[in-house]
This record gives sequence, C-alpha cells and structure tokens, in this order.
Amino acid sequence: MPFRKPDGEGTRPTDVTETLVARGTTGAVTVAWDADQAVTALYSAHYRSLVRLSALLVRDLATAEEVVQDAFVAMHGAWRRLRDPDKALSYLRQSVVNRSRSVLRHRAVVEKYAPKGLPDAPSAENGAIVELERTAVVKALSGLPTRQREALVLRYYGDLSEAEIANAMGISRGAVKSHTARGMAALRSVLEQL
Amino acid sequence: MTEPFDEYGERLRRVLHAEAEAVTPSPEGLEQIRGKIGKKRERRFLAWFAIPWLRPLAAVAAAIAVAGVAVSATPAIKTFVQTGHFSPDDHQDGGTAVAGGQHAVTAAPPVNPSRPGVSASPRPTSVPTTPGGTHVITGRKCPPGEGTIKPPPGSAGSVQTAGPSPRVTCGPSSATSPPASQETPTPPVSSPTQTASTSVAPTNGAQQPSTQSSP
Repeated sequence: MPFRKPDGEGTRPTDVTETLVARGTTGAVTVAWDADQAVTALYSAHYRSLVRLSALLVRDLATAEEVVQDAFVAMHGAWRRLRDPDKALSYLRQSVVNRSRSVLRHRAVVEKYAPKGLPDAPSAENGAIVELERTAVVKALSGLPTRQREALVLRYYGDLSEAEIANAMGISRGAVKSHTARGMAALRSVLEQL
Repeated sequence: MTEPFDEYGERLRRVLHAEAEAVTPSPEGLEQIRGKIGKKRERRFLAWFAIPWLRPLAAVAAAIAVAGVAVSATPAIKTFVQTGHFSPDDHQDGGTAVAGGQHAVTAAPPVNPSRPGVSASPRPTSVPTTPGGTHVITGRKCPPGEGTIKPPPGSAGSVQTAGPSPRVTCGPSSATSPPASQETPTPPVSSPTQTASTSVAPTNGAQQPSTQSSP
C-alpha cells in the first residue's frame, strides 16, 4: 500500500509544528458565536495556516492573503446558513481551495494572452543545497495539474486525511487517491535527482 | 523495506513546510477582513435602494404612515372617522344651560316625528335652574347617595316633559358644591334654542336618564 492516511499510527512526523486541522482548537467553534466572533476566533487560530496553504497553491503571498480574506468574508456572510458551525474550518478550507483554483484559472488565461517576459533569474539563496531542493520541488509542484497539486499540498502540508481532502476539493476519495498518486509519480523524477 | 512513496512523501512534506514557513502573512489581515465585511454590508444596504420598485413602495408607505398619524393625532378627525360626526356631542346634548338662569333645550331631531315637542325618552333634557342660580345638569344618573330635588313650584324653569307627574331632577343630596362636571360649560348650543316649554329629547340611549319619574 503506497499511501497511508496521515493520521495513521507511526506515519505522522513528530516535527510538524503546524497543521491545518488544528483538532485541539476547532472544538471551540461550537460555542454559539455570532459571525464577528467566529471570524475573530478562526482568524487567530487558522489564518496563518490558510494563507500558507493558499500561497503554496497560488505561489503568491499577496494573492494568497486576498484569497483567504475573501474566504473569511464569505464565511461571515454565510454564517447563519452554516448548518454546523463546527465545520467552519472545513468551509474556510474548501473556500480557500476553490478560490485559489479560480485565481490559477484566471492567471492561466491572463498569461495565455500576455506577452512573454524574460525567465526569472535565480536568486542568491539558491546557492544552498536545501534551497535548491526546495526550489526544484516547488517548481515541479507548480508544473503539476491543479488537482494534483491541491491534493499533494493538502496531504503533505495540511496533513489532511483523504476524506478531508475530498471534502475540501469537492471530489470523491477515490479521486483524491488518484490525484495524489499521479502527482507523486510526476514528482518522483524530481525528488530522485535531489 | 522502505516504501518509495513514503520517502518521497517525507521529503515533499519537509519541502512544503519549509516553503510555507517562509510565508508570513501581514498582521493587518483581521482589519482588512473587517473592512471588507463593512464594505460588503454597505453595498448590500445600498443595493436595497437600487431596487427599482423600492422607492415607490417606500413613498406609498410613508404617505400611509403620515395619513395615519394625522388622523390619529387630530381628535376631531379621529372622532369623525369613528362616529361619522365631527363632535361626539352632536346628537347627545339635549339641553344646555344658558346664561341668566334660563335653561335651554337644543333642538335635536325628534324621536318620533308624529309627536313633536313631546319627549318620548325617559331622559329629560331640560336643565332646571335652582334658586341659587346653578343648574342641575342632566345626563347624570343619580347615585344612591344623592337625593332628588324638586324644582321650585313656581319657577319659570320647571321641567316640562311628557310625564304627567311633576318631574324631579337629580342633584346632589348635600348642599355642597356639585362636582366640577356640573359647572363645566357645555358646548355652544346649536340653534335654535328653545325655552323649557317643550322638551325634545334625542334618542341616544347611551345617555343615562338623569331624572326620575315619581309615581
């Protein structure tokens, strides 16, 4: 079995300092908050991780922040319609993924019709081996199809289970397995060289 | 045997976390979110006034509200709306005292046209004049504690009603001053004003009889 669930025994790394799930703190949302209080609490608990998730998807910090802020605004507007406030984080995560996808789609259209510019010059940080590895992996990740990239980021950065990934992406668990396997297969060549 | 995907997965996880650690959101994120929420609220509020049918509807509602306030705030209009008359005393005042110790009877529509001038109502409408010059106001039922006073036998202001027996008028039993309502001036008597020779009583049953017929 090539993949195991992130929360399986012995597979979860112990050096992970931040997860998107935040299982220990999400239960606080069960309190009957109004929309403003919910936004404040969820912001303090999950804003940073959501911005990072979006940044990994859209490769742009400013856009990632805008995406996450719009997701918070949408959640604030839809707070009364949320059937289960416990799932506010899931709502936020799904909104962030969908909006990041929309940004990428829009960006692809813009880049398609934009004039070609010069390729990016390597920065001074790329001298380090770690940075080389990181840059290569991230670059390879950026070249993946959107669904595969989302599945890999949600699994290996967000440490989400297949069910949670399926919920966030709006696809089935089988599709999540498929996208993850294909994405990892595409990245294997890059990872083998490092 | 290590699984290759696990190895690659760990490396990918390490790289992604390192990449994410480099991302530092701005600290003004919450303020920006609140600002966007405020703008959204404003847009939503303004969008209501952009609806084309809302302005006429608001104008009609405002007109109805103003009319309602005007009707309810003006007593005369309110009375007219409720009773059909501008004054509630229009057909209730049977008689009113006039100056000079005379008593007056308003010319209300007769109850029975076939017997004009004869009061068919048990309520006498004339106002007798006491020797002191005060009037005993009709329309007031004699309470148990109050007696009746007979008008002076020879007074010109005697009660003339349909009863064969002398009429007695209700008044306070004591010689103290009557209640303030007795001295309150009645609304202006509508013309024509007649003296007490005839008594025409209105038919308003809401008015309590103020005199008692002696057997």
